[in-house]
Amino acid sequence: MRVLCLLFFLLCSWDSRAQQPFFREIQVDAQNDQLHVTTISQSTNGLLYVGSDHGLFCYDGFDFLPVALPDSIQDKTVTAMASAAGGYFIVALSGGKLLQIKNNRISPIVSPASAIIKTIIETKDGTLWIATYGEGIFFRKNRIWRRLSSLPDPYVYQMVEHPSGKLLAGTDGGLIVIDPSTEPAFLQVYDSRKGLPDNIVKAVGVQPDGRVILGLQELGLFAFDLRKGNFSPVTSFDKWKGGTINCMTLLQNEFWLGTENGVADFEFRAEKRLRYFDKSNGFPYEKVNAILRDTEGNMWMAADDKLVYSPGEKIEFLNQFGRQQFDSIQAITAADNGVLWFSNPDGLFRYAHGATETGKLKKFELSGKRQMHIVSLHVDAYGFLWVGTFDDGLFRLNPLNGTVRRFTEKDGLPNANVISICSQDNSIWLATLGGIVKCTLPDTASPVSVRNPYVFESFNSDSSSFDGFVYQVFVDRKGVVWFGTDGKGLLAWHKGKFIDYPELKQVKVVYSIVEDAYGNIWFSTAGKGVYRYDGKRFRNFSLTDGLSALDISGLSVDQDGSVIVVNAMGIDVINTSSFRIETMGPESGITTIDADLNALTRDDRGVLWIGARKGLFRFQHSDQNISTYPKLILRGVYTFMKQSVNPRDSVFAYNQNNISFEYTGLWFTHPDLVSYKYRLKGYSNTWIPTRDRIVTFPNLPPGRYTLEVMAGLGGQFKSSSMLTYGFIVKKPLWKENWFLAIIIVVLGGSIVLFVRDRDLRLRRMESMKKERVEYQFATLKSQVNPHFLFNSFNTLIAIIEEDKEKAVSYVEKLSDYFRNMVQHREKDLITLGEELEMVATYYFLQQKRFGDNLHLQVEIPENWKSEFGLPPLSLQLLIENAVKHNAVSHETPLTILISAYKDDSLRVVNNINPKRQPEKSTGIGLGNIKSRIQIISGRELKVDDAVDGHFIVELPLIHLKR
Amino acid sequence: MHFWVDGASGGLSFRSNDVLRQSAISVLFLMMGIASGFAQNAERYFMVNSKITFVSKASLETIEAASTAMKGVLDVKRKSFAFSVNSASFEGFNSTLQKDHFNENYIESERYPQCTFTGKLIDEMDFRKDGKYIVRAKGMLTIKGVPHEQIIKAIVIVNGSDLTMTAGFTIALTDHEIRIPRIVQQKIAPQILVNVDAQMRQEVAK
Repeated sequence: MRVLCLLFFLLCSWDSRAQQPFFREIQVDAQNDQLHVTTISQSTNGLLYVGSDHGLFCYDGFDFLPVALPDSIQDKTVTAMASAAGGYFIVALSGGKLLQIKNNRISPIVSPASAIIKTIIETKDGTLWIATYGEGIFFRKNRIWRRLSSLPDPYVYQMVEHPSGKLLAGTDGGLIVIDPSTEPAFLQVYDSRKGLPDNIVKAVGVQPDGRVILGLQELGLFAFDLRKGNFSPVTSFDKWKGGTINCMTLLQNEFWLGTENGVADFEFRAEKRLRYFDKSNGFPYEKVNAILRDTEGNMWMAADDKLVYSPGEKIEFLNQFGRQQFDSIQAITAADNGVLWFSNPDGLFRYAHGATETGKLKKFELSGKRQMHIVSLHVDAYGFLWVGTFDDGLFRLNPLNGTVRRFTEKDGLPNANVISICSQDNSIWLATLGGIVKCTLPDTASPVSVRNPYVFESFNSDSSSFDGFVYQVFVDRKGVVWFGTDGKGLLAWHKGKFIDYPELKQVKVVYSIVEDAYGNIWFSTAGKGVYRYDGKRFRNFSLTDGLSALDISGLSVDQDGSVIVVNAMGIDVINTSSFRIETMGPESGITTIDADLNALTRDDRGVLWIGARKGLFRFQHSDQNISTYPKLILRGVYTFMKQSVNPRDSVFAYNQNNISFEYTGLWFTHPDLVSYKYRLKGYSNTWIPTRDRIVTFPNLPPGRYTLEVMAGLGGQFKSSSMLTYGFIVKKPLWKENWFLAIIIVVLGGSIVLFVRDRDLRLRRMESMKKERVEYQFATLKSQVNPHFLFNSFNTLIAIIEEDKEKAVSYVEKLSDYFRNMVQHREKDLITLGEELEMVATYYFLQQKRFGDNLHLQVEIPENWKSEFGLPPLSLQLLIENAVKHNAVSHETPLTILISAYKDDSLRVVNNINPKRQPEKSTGIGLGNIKSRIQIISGRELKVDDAVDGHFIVELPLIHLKR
Repeated sequence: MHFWVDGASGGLSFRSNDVLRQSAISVLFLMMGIASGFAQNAERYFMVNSKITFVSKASLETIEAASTAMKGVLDVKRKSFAFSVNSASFEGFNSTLQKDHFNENYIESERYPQCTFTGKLIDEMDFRKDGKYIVRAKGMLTIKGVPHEQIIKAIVIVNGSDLTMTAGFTIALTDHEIRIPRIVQQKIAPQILVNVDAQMRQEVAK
């Protein structure tokens, strides 16, 4: 039963469909079906630009957005495009016009041309080259345009930059090789006189190794060796059948050519073959005028003026060589020199790439038996082909003479079902349905007479080995033999011992084993995906890691060292260093590869061949220059959903905090597969998955943020690129720290000032109070001066005797004087008039005593008396002092003058008549007045006693109305 | 658009979009060149005999017409040429009415009296050596005032100072904006086959 199941598994296949590269027309402008696509280009940021006779369109996989060209340009036919340094994209329009585009800003470039510009190239030194159709070649160096002189023909079809720095131009007059490093640029012409078979060179391409491929008007493709300067046909036996070549683009191993009849594909590695696709075999267009390979390996064409897309051909299907058709391939293996062995129920076949058409495929007979199931093939180091069958044992074929040797149970072969064969030194390891078998080959030195020099050794008696189904045997570079078993999983044979892996006990069935470039062992399992064993640890790859299916029919390794997994959904390619898994399924033109178990091989040219029910799949993988994940670009930043912001501005005002970011993950292969996740660091650290290509953050609080966006394919983000955009939302002015600091300083300062001012005022009031008390005391004391009273009374006695009436008025005055004094001394300030009244009273009293010897003169304007004020009794005290300190007699009269001085002062002047016995001065009077004046008016009382024998006091007044 | 191409110097080109004027000027220029003595040492071949035939093979009708009025000049040194034929000079057709239609509706002979082909020779050939050469001529074919670039392959036989030229090519009517009403689409082919036989003779300027 198990054998039957296995038979079913090995031989039966699912229905499937394989196809040629497929082509799909894409409408550029739905409103305009008259639009003619002229050129296609991909800018360095990954966007696709499509030029037409109705202007330029930018394509992101979803929409064609027209690029607004200046209205002043009438003919908006785009003739050429190129990316330039500094993020510029240069566009040539009909009539030789040039524009440059950066950040959606378009500016014209002065152009020397008026003819059609066919090619724009910016070389590494910054020189801009343009090749025209009719005016030759121009170049711009140091902002000056110059024309390349002595060009044999001014009609240039295409110009390309060679890795050597030279420029190659295809013209009506042959191939022009320009060396821009010399001054003037050195020009070499290769035309029919130099061996070019066709003078019209319409397209030029450069292989990665520097070899040049020319597309000629009449004779098709020719190779050109730039160093030797010679031409050779690209294939030795195929004549060009593709029509006039218009353009070409390089893929990894091949050139795709756009021709007048369709497209052609020239593979310069491996087989050096040519294939044509036209109306007869699936390419329904003609006149392919532009062709471009994008960074994902997709093809874009301008065919019949339409935009045509193709995923290219990552995998190719064959089911016939010449007239021989074949299918149901069960085993396949590659030998040297492009020889491929494969088997199907019809027998065993040899396919040789290099052979002529008729000798390509040859059938080999192994035995007379009509139908055999050949399930394993292996070429050993001696060139013998080993053939394993179901039930019919093992065969050894000598391909040179066709002799066959058969081994069955009779010859010691323990089991006649040989599923896998691998050789090691002088032995052949066999995986059979009855366990592991080792066949030791005869020693070349041993005598021929030995009847059966082949010794088969079965390991099923050994207790540590295995006697069940063995699906694969594989010898790695270190000499370890690996076995994929049904029941014991992975087994290894090293230094005469079997090793099993109990840590891998969940894996019971191992189907295929390969070794990668780093010596790691990779194996596929039944339903548990692929494992990688680095000698210490096992690492599993399953659906969650990006494998597209678990139904794995075989493993292989490609020329870059990646592991190829063939499964029911297509092909998965595991990068062995990044563990990134690239899947190729229906979007690559692969539907189902219904491959038999381990029916795959890699030939010496790096081509992977997969044997399947419907025929052979040919797969050449290389991940050089091919991006395998979406390229994420920021399309725009908007505030409040409409205002576009220059993406370099990363500071937003507090009221500009509704911010939207538009981004696209460019994946032209399958734009709908792209999904995104984003997070706004500084706001939240959780990733938010989305399918939208715009994210809006309304009402962001002020702060510092970083937006991170990732694009993934089918929800896988493992290896995708990340877009980061840091920005700041500023706080409003009144929340800024510096603003708050200023406010605090100002407030604090004014409080301090206020407190200090108040304190000062209080202290002044305090001292004034004290002064006043002192003054009152001093005045009282001075007025109750017994001398004054004694003198007054003496005077009074004298007057009473002379005149009673006079005496009465004298007493009245005296009493007035004391009353006034008592009245005013409580006040801070009295008017000048009141003070003068008191002075007058005092003068009256003193005059009675001194008569004409005392003289007081007052010269003050009348209005001053009410306008100005002064501390009470201050003037009075000055007069008293003058009387007190001077001798007043007939010989020495005392004259006191009170006058207005300056605008707001009084001047009290008296002549000095020193007494013989000076009066003892208390010092309180004058000092007291001084400080009171100082406190009240803030001005100073000035005393000067040495001016012409005069004593002068300046008494400041206080303006009352102010 | 440039109709005069100087193969030798690569430097001369006119900048003008006036197609008609330009092609007429270049033909005239070439033809009159000898009389004016403009390029004295140039070797030129002038038309002696010519026959240009066109065939329209439509599903319902085959139309044929021919003209012997083609003139032309071939400049050996410059590898350039100019040919012209009077549009109204074609004879044949299946009826007079058809000829009138041809002249009035399709080719507009009165407005565009000349059909011209001017350009350069692509492939090398030695005019001094007798023999048979296959050369490509690339140039601007102007019919009904509409220019279209064309590469025409010709068999050239050099015999002393005589030169025989045979060429066959097709003209797509859409390339020259000649529109065929739907009703006669089965009678006029979209691709017209043209055959040219010409004898030219060298005249070296003094």
